[in-house]
Amino acid sequence: MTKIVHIALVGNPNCGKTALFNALTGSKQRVANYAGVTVEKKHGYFVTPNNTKCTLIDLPGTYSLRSRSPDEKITREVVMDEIKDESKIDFILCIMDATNLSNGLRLILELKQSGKPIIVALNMMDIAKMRGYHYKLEELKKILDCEIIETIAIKNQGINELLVAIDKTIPNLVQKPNTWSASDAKGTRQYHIEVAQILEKVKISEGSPSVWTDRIDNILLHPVFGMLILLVLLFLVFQSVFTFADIPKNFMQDCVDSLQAYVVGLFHGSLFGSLVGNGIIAGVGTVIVFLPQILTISLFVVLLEDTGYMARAAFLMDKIMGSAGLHGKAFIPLLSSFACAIPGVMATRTIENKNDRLVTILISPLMTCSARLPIYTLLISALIPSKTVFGFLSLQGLVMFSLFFAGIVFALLVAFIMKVFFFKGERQPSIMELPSYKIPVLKNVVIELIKPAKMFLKRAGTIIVSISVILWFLSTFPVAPINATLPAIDYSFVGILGHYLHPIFAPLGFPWQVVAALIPGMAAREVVVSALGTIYALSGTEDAMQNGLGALISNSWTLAMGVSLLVWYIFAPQCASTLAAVKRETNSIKWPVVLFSYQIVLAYVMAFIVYNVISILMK
Amino acid sequence: MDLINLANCNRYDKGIIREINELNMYDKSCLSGGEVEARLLEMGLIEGARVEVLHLGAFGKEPIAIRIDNSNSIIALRKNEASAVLLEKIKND
Repeated sequence: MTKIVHIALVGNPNCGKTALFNALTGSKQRVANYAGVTVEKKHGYFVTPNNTKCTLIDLPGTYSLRSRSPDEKITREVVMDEIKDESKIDFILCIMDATNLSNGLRLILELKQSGKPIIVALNMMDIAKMRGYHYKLEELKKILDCEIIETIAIKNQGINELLVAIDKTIPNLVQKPNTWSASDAKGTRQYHIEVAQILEKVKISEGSPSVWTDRIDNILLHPVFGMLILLVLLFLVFQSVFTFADIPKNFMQDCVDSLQAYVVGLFHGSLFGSLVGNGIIAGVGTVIVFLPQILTISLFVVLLEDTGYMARAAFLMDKIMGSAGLHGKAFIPLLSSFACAIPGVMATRTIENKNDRLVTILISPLMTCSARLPIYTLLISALIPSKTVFGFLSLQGLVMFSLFFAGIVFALLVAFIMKVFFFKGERQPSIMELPSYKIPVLKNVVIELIKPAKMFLKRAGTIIVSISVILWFLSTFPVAPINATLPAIDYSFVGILGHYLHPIFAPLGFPWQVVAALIPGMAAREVVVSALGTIYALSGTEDAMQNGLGALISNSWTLAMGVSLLVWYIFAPQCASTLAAVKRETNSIKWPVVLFSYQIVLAYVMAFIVYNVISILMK
Repeated sequence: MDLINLANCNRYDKGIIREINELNMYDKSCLSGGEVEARLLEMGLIEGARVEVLHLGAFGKEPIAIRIDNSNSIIALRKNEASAVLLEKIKND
């Protein structure tokens, strides 16, 4: 057989679907988007022992094929070959949680109506056995009329058996006619009855749920301690960004600095040396040094997700989310937005209601994304003294935490206002599942960690390189006249533009260099730091070259200026990639315009207030 | 038969679901047309299932985390959705 076999991977949420996907395909994965709807399309590739090439399509977790969110709609459309430019599905690989068979069986009964052949991976067998959930497997195979393989995806067990089963199935793939239709409440009750009958026949013993999960939940979901632990945990995340991640960051900074100096020296005085050294290396360097911090924050997100704590955090936050008119599920896209607003905006697809989803999309960019870390770190370490308060808290960490906190508070406020004034309508039900706790598996953590790192480096390698070059050009030409009295950059395009726009931003205390840096900062927020670096480094002061941007800022900026810029960046209206993502997700130009306008108004007003208040207080 | 509303249950209360009916919900502006009912059913809530209240949220006793039968997973829902579920209470041992 030379044909490539297309397999759809379907299952309930929290049944180990991602682990199975990773176990089967390893690193051979490609992530893209479905045309038009931009639901993440995750394809993986593997070869069976019989040398058949397979494409595995990972589909969003779902409880039924009835589509109540864009995510679930994609699952149905792929399974039923309703997507035009997608190859036909040859069979369905359905993964089922062995400790929660009834939910899985209902989905299989629905999937069977699609007429596609099905192979079942009965996952989490280790936990099921330990907890005493035993079933007559042969009997179940007969009733469902499909192959069932027991797996422990996170431990890579049962994967070979699964591959052999796939090989056995491939020559006998027969598609029956599709008889599926969306079921109403009555239909779902009918599925329940059918599943109960099946379970009656195949059940040997009904297990007991995890005692440990209950014990841990008694603490982590405790009305007082649970909340405190959540706060401490979030605080810990931000402290470690500043302490642990700072060590490799400083090391990388030193490397970038020496490389830049070396290159500039190598091509002494030439324009080319200046382009490579001061343009590209300095530009990319200032951004790339933030990789350790982005990895740190992503590591926490992955760990919280994999242990099962994320759903608990959503539980604890549900009431707060609800009071802002948001769905409990909104917590997860908002938390993802701490890494970057783009995956955050994309993660809103699990929210069923259109209005709820729109509001969540519009406030996601207020979460402090990692691209703001460069500017936060730079200004905080330059202007906030590095001392401890209350004996153990780093003052710098505390300021960082306040910035994150302010973003959250304003996000909820904005959501509340939007809900009250602009998005009136039906209230949405909020029902979620709290999976039992699990110990994360290193391999999966690594795979999930590589993704944001790759994305960040790709941005650094493409957008930021090109912007650095453009910016270098803009800040180098026109060249200053020979008898110039001012620094060379004052005569360049950046200088001209910065000076030209300066009066608009002067009430916020921004020096013209910042105004100039905000322009290239449109493309990606972190570029502001490298732009500032370029602008200051090129403005001729030897100090800037030697002591870096931080020293320069702490010497020449007032506290009010720094805090004003920090406040501007809480709202940070300028991020072209986020605006593009919002346009794609909402399929309209209206929402990115709304987003940009409200953010810029908020940023301007708040920075204005803060700058003037601090200036008066410091007098 | 004395039925109580899941939304009014305390921690550790146990009961058998006797009725799932979205017409009982507090907030009538919530989704209509059997949608809430269908979603509750899809998450495993069904007449005849045994329910135990495991945890309550810190503010206003919501969300409500429940276990259905002996399932290994826990379902959390807000009071409004819970008010669609009527239980026959089982005495705590």
